[in-house]
Amino acid sequence: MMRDFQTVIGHETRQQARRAIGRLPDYLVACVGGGSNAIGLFHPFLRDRGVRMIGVEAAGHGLESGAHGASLTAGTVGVFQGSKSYVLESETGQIRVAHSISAGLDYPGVGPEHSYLRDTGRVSYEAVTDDEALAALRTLAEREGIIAALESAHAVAAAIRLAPTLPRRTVIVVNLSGRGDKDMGTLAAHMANEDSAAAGVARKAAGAAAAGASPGATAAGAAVDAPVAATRARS
Amino acid sequence: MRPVERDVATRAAPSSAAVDRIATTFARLRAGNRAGFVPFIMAGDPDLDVTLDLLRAAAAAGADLIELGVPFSDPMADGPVNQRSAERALAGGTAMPAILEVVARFRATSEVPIILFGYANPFVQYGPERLARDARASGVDGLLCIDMPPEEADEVQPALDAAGIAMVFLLAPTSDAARRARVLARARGFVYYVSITGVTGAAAPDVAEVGTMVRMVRHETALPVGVGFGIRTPEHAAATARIADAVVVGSAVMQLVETHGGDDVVAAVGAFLGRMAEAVHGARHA
Repeated sequence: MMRDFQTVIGHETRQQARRAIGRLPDYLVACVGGGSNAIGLFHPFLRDRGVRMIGVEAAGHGLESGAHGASLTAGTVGVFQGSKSYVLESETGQIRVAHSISAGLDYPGVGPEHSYLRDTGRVSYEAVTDDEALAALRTLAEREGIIAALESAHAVAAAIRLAPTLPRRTVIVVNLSGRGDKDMGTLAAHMANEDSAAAGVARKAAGAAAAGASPGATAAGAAVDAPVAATRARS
Repeated sequence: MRPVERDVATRAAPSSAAVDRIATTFARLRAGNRAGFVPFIMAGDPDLDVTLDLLRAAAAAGADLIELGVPFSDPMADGPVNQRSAERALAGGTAMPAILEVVARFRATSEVPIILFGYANPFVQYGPERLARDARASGVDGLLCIDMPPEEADEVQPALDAAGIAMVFLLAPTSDAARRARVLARARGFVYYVSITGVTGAAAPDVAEVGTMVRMVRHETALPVGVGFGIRTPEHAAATARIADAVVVGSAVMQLVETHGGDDVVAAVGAFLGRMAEAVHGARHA
């Protein structure tokens, strides 16, 4: 049901692409926390074999650090909040605490349809670190005047990584699923000190504050305008 | 209607010693016109040594069955008391093999049936076949997996059936006739009726409403019907004992564990369970 509501963005993307370029795009890129904005963009294109899709998860401090939100890229199959899907979990089946600089991707599970699309190979999934997302957010703001949400900045980062590897005239659609206005506090904490000697310390402090403020994380990557849409049962 | 449903239940139930321990208990209770008292104890809160002491104290206090909680990180059917209990248990590293060892040590001196009570993921990650085998070997009688509806039960129930471990299912005030039929076709051992539309330890249920539902369920299955969620006082337990085959008390027990850290926790819980057992057992004879 949630997917069907979210597909508004996918249908609109088809219409706009036809109008703007007279064909479907070559790539769709969207961030994946719980996965709603991504499934909404992807779903209307699933039968279009020429359209490749990339879901972008939060690598947080890096996949090897263990502090991330990349259920599909680095998780295992488990049963969590009523569905069987890829989750971040211990060997004994306890759900791990996720980490991402973006509240919407700071979630240890993912909608099961993404797990299916991962296993069938229809959609490929990759992960982008906090630092890469921050850099992409800055790039998009400086070049296009668009302040994307930190969640969406993960998709932007993946697109920036992808674009140089593709032929000219390849069309990539990036889903800017939310606005960065809501992230100004986080951005200020991370960017203001970027060039100062205290950068590392400030980053750690802000990271700890963010983790403490949202131990439960949000359920849906697309719910960035209401970042505490659905907290986990633990709270 | 009743004889037909009884046939279904009888055919569905695997014959084995483990299920028999549950069946024997309910037969004994029925013969004495008493309801069963079923306390819930979270394994590993505050640690597994105390859990073993609590199990023994519960048996000594008159528990007829015991639900042994398997802690889970995201216990979505539990209220704050049991959530904190699970957090304490997990902080101590409580996990499956050690929980089953505690059951085995308890089973060495007691025949009180033990129902593992938990969430799907720890059971699924342990592995259904391994779980059934090890649980059976340790003396577990039943398993209640709160977030595994009958539609998904094929993942673990065949292994449990083969091992003679009863898979207990939940019904709720929102379960309509079609839903009840689907759940009851899968149910083993007894049926757990969730008396409220809420989490464990929430507001006390309305006994009259619960009674209406329990009577209905009893016409649909030959299995005993236990009632739980929100029962915390002897008066409430006694009122429930007049309408149900068993009364489950959980959060009130773990609340005591939380407030009595240290040595007196076993004595405090034992005394409370004694009062509750007395209320349940005497309810129909007062």
